[in-house]
Amino acid sequence: MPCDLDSLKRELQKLCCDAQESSQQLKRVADLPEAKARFLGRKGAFGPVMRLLGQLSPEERPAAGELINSAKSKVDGCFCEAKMRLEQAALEAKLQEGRVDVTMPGRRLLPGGMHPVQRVLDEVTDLLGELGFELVSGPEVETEHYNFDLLNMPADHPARDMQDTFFVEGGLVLRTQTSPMQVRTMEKRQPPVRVMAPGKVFRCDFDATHSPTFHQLEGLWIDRDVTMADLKGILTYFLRRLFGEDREVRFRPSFFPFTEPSVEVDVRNDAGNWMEVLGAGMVHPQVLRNVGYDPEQVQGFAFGMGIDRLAMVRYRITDIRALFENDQRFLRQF
Amino acid sequence: MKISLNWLRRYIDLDWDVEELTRRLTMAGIEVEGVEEIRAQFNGVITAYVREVKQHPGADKLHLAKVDTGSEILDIVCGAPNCREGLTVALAPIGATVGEMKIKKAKLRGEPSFGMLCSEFELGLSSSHDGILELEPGLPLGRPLTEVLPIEDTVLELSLTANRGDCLSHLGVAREIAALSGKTLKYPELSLDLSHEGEAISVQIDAPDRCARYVGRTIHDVKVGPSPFWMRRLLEAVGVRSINNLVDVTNFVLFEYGQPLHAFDLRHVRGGRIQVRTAHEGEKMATLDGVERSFCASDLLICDGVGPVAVAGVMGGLDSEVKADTTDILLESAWFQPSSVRLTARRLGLHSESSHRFERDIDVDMTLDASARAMHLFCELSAPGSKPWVSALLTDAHPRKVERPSILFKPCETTRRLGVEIPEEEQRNALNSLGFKVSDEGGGWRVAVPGWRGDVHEGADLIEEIARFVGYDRIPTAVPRVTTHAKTDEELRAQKLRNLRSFLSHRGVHQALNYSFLSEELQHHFVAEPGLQVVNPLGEEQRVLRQMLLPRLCLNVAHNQRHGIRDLCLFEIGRVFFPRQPGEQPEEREHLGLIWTAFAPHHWSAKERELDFFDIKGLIEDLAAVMRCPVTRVEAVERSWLHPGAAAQLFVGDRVLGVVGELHPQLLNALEMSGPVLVAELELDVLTGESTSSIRFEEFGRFPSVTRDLALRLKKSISAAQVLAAVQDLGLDIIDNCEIFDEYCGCSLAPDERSLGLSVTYRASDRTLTDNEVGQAHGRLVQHLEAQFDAKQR
Repeated sequence: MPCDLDSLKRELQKLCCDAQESSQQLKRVADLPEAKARFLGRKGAFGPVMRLLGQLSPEERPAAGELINSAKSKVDGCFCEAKMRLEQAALEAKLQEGRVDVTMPGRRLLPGGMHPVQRVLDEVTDLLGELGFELVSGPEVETEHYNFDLLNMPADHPARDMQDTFFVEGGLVLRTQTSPMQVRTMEKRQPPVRVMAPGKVFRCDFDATHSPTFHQLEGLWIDRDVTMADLKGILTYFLRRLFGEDREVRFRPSFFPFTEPSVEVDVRNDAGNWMEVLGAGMVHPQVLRNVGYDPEQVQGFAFGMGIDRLAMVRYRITDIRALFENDQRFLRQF
Repeated sequence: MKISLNWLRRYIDLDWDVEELTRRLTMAGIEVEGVEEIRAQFNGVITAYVREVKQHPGADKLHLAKVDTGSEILDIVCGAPNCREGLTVALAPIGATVGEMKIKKAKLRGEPSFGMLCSEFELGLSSSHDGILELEPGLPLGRPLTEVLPIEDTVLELSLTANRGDCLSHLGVAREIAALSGKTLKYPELSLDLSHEGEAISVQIDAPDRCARYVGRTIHDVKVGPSPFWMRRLLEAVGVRSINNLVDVTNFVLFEYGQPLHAFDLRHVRGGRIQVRTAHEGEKMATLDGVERSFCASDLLICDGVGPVAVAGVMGGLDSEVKADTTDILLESAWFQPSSVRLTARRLGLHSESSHRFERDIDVDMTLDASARAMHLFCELSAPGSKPWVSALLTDAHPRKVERPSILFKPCETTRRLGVEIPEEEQRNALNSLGFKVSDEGGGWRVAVPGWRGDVHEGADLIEEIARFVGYDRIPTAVPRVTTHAKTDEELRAQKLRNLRSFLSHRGVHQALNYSFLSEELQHHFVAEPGLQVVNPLGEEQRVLRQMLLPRLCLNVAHNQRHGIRDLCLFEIGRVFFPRQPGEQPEEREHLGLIWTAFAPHHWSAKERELDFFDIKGLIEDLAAVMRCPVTRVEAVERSWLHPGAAAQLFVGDRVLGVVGELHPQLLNALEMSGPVLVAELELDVLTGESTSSIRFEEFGRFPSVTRDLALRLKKSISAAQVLAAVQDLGLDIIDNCEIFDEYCGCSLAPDERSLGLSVTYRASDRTLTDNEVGQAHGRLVQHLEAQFDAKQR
């Protein structure tokens, strides 16, 4: 091997060329360390060159050393570049692999429907709760005493025919209204009483607008000075919160055995027609006497509403039977 | 109740148009539910006079008539047999329309015809084909028919409340309108020629408590025939079919006065006497509708000298009804006790116009007037050629007064209840206008209730009368007074229920609502004990009260599956009923039922699998955890309706939460479901009761943990719960957690063996554990398990 600076230069040049070529031909990051070692490793191509250094005159050595170092860093640079290139390519390949059709369906757990009657019940009890009505509940299988007699509907009262009653063995009835809860609550407490009693009620009637099972909510407020003006105030506020603040609300005379005066409350619907939404009235003095209250001292009002009918109006359901069929195509809409 | 405005106008001048009348009545508590306009089904039909009639030269059955319209004489070909000279008729000239038909010039068998003479049928007035309509002679000619005949009318459909029986008649409604409008009521004509004495009928009332008054009167030599046009129109307007003049009169007076009447053919009133008495047990009679009825001792009967002729207040007997050849009539006008009539009508399932009114307590003073009115009309409408006469001897059996109360009333009470001051004079005027008699007494008033208002008993009723008279709009709308209270237990429970429903909804479960009753057969699939029976169910499917929610939820699944819906998860919250002593109210408990049938979580990226027991178990465990009542124990149970190998009872502490499992394949078959169907029936009180796990922050270990897995080969009879309990029992405090992550049964194991994979996490709260420490503990654990269960680590 010639041993002068020129030949060293040539040798180093060749090494640099080889290294460049070798680095450019690399295809995988994994092959890089080995290829790099062939030049820069302990047994790499620079080994013999370094040995040449010893054969040079001391004057030439610093220049030669510089030449070698510069060549080494050039070679190292080649492999660094190659590494970056390969890593970039690998990343791109990986990204390519991870591409998806974003329009394919996601993994979902579709929420279940809340029954429309439940929705309306929740809304109504929330509103009345805000006004201060306390939630109470009572039995669905009632005695005639609570369902009728104490509500001023003695056995021969024609109003008993208004409600087609289901009788249960043992002289009991399925409650035809939530009104027994008025009496049950007043029996247990002294005024002021301000409660609401939602629940299931039963009548033997079955067609597109009547279901043998349906839901009512009863409200009751008794105190020393609760008047019919309060009845109108509370119910107007309540119905406007429920149906919209600019709704027209109409109070007209009606009849319930357990209220006097009695009221039917209508709301004007979008079509401009009056729609019956609840019945109400000042609690009948006889009912107050029945629970041991003195009608000279206390008075108040009661109201009752059909929740199912309200749900039908709200969600535009035309057949009440759909509420109890539990067809998934119906339920999932709520 | 239908009210014809033409009819109403006989008693009152109506200034209000229909809309105003509707509004006024409705706002006074007489709700007008609908308005029906009766319009002529023809146009351009006029009155005309038949001057001359000749036989058609080419047809036996046709006539050639010369018809005078007042302004011209028209040639008309007419086929009606009653077409004759001197008749006033309804003529549809060229250009008129009759029904769908437009009248044009025509030639009939070669003879020209310039119009048509009309029958009632053609004019849409009745189904009578008996020739052309014969109008009253002397009517002006050429006038629209609608002007001379009461054809067009407006009918109000009233929705009357049960207390307002007094408005079940045209006079009653007119009286109400008179009160509201200040107009005067015009009463019907009652005059009678009483020059014939006749014979008085004997009336004996054996049950005065149930029949307070019975007015009996006879009329003789009447003749049955058709009713006049005006009466037929009025009856038809309120939905009553015309029968004949005599029957129509009793119906007319019923709808005029509200007093039910009954006409007996006097020939069939045996012994010429009437007895009002309770029935003998098993006594029989055929009623007007042709049905043979059997009576019991609670029924009130009208009898003649031999036996029953009518069911009091409900329906007459078949034998004594008015027939085509009836000439002498006994007319009954009576007052029967409302509850008595109600009882019998209900028992017989016979709801008639009569019973409807008697049940609502009619005015006892109306009986005489109504009887006289009917007699007057019988005379007026008896068919031509008859000379009817009314017996002057009327029998008015009135053993008992029907008292209306006289109420002590303080006008200041009105203000106290309504929350608005109504001046005393206005209150007095309201009551007087409505027929009450107000007089001063002490510091207040004494108010006498009129006979037709049996529904008014006390001061509160008078306040309603005053309020509805002045209008509910007079009562102000007070600013709502709001009150507050701390949440009650009931309200806290309601809040928990909302959380529960919301959790289930987020897990994809739909809320269902079912009837509370079901068939005995369906319930019997699930429960052995009989449920409470509904005495009068709508059908066998609604016979007993439910003791579980699942039976009906199964029907819901079957319904959905029939409609091709296979992915379905439903829950229901509702009461179930457990009988106690007979007559005692049952125990009512609230249950949560859940039913799930689907292929679990399906997505295009994964393979479908069937749901199994662990899906529902996991769902319920999550639910219990959310409700802060975590499931603490699970035990296999047997239920006839559940798969014997996949049924478990869940416990929260020592309380039974309920049962979860897979439905038995035989039940699926019986209820026409396809499976697998996973179910749960839980006690709601356990979920909404006091939380067993309260929220308290606990310091968590900050030193690292070490996890070691182990696979244990053991007998299948040893449950996972036993293994986990054994880990717990060892009492090693550095065992932080132990979970089962795998189960393996396969050919490398004996058939009665399985291998469970346990993942054990070790952690200490005060130091980092060394390998050695963990190794020792794990070794002890393995040894302990091997020894306890005769197991081998794999």
